[in-house]
Amino acid sequence: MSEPDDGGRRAVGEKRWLWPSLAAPGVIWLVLLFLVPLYAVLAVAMGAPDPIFGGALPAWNPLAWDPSEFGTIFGEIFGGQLGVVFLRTLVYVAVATFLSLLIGYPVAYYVSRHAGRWRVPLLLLIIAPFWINYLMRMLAWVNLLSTDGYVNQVLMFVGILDAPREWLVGKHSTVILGLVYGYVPFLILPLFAALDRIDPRVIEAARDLGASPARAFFAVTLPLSSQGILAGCVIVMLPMFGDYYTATLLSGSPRTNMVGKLIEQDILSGAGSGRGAALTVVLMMFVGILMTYYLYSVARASRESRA
Amino acid sequence: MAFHPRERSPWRRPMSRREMLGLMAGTAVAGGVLAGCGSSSGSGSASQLAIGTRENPVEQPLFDDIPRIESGLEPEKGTLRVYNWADYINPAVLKSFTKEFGNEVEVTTFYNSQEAAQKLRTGKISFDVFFPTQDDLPKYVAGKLLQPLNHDYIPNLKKNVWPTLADPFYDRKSRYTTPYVTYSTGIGWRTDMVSTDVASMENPWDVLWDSEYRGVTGLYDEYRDALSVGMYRSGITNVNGAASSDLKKARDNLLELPDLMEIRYTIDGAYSRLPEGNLGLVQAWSGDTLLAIQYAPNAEDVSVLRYAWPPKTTQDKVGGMISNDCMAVLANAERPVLAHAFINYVLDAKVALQNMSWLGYQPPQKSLDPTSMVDRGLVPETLATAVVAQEDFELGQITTQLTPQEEGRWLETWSRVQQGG
Repeated sequence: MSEPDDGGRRAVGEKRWLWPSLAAPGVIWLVLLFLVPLYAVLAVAMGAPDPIFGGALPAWNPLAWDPSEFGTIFGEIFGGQLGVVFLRTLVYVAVATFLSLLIGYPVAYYVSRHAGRWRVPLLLLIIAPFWINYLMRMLAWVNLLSTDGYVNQVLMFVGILDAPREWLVGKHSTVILGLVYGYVPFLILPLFAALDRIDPRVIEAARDLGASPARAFFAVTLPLSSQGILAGCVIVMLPMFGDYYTATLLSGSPRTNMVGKLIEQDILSGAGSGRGAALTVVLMMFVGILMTYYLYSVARASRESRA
Repeated sequence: MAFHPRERSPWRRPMSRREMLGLMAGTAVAGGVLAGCGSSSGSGSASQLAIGTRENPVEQPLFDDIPRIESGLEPEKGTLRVYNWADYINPAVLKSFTKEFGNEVEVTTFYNSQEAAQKLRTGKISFDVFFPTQDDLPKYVAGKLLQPLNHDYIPNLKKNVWPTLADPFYDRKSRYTTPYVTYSTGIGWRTDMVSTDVASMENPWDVLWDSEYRGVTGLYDEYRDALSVGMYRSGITNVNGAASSDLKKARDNLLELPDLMEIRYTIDGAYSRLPEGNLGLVQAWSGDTLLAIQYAPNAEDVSVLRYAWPPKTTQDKVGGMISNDCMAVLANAERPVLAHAFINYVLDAKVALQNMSWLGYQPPQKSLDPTSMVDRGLVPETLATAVVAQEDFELGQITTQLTPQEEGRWLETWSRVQQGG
């Protein structure tokens, strides 16, 4: 660092050291709670079998890593049924995210722009489901959706159904609805924040310049909230990819199992921990590639729309 | 919401206990072949696993560096630390123990046997009393995690416990363990949803493939239990081996179920979904069936419950599993004398009964058999079949440890079943 020649320069020099140091706690946090566990997962995935207790003994030295488990898994993905499970997971997550957006956007829009003095109570109501444990909420759905449950009773009373629908027996739609129900609040909150930041005068200007309400929405509000849509979708998609309990509770059929369920099964068992760890890494890569592509294409689209 | 009479999590409790059975388990022993076969060394700890079977009972090895405690010592002061499955002992039993001995009891719980083993193996945490399942015992002994018992402190073992389990095949002379509770794995159903008399069928397991009960049928979401049903369906009873043809048969049988039966794999099927009428026909642990009485919304739901254990209803022509959990003292226990006193206390006839009234699972006590339990009003007559009797251990299959390699093959098969299609 060169000799500062006045007070102002010194302040800048101090800041150069100050700002990175403020990031240090976060960086240490990330290293400790993300990279170290990730390394442990890799060490288990490529570890040696434990002769007494079963499962994999983590191999901490990368030179001792044995990647054969990955070979097995890729073999099953491209040559077996495991690929179908990955595809099913992807479809579930895509459909559930789309539905969440369809449901969440109008809610966030209404709360941020038209709720007036009801904003705070409405926001509280949106977060209220978080006060109840996820498993409890899903178990409640098991009762609501049972053959003689309220959902069937109401639908039959209204005349939509003639006979009770068997919601809980391996139905893709039930699992997707469960995912939407479980994660939609996570999408509404970032969307609300994004919509709330839009200056109402910008929309007024669009209207003054002759845009119809629909045109103003699609040309102004929607592009300006794209960051919120992006954040909300990513926030709900990531946990959905790892979800295993929704399908377990609302279906229990192998037909609706997601990748997370297979990982859970392997990890909880003794001899399967190596395989479970490898499957975890493969899922991470799968999601990582998808997310990179998604973020990239969204970034390009927003650049183009601005241009 | 349909929740349980006590503060136990319906989602976790039976899962945790049962997972032990299957999960870290290993097995061995096709019809008593592999007794004592272990995998060769590695990982530092001792290598040979002493795996007993009914035909080839074993004594677990003793180690010079882990002596049993002397006789005639006074129980230590201070808190007794118990390491157990979640919600697997009646809190009232702990309270009355404190009253009698003056020692507080602190229970730490584990979620599955893998977790328990990993934590105990670090050697950095110590507990006094531990609750392993019988099939996991060889691992814990070989890993030098347990200390031999001094029977002078546990007179209730000889006095109260069934002779077969007071000197069991997996641990002759009860060197390291006493039994805790027993259970069989059979079929539970509701007579208002299932008209077939499952108990009189030639192979009762076939009912799980009867499409008349499509949509109301469930199996345990646990690999050893579920896959063994696939084997029993085809008349295979060697559920402690890993012959690839047997596993393939089991897999093919189970892969029929999603489309044929709309099968549901659950962990709360027998004790919660069955009494609630959410399912009508399930694979069931006898203890879960007795627990179902407590979960039933009303008396009619109890009166329609039935349970059959195929080895008994078919005079052992058809397979079915039976097993038990144990109590043991850990090698690094700080209060071993008190730990012995606690085990003896839990084996007391009255205390055992008090424990069962909360737990549902049955202690192997001489005073408890199907007739006496029905007479005392502990179990409705219609569910007397869910009470395990001592002679049942002569029938059916007792789960034994799989070797890690065998377990790997079971898990691969299970993963395939869970992928469906």
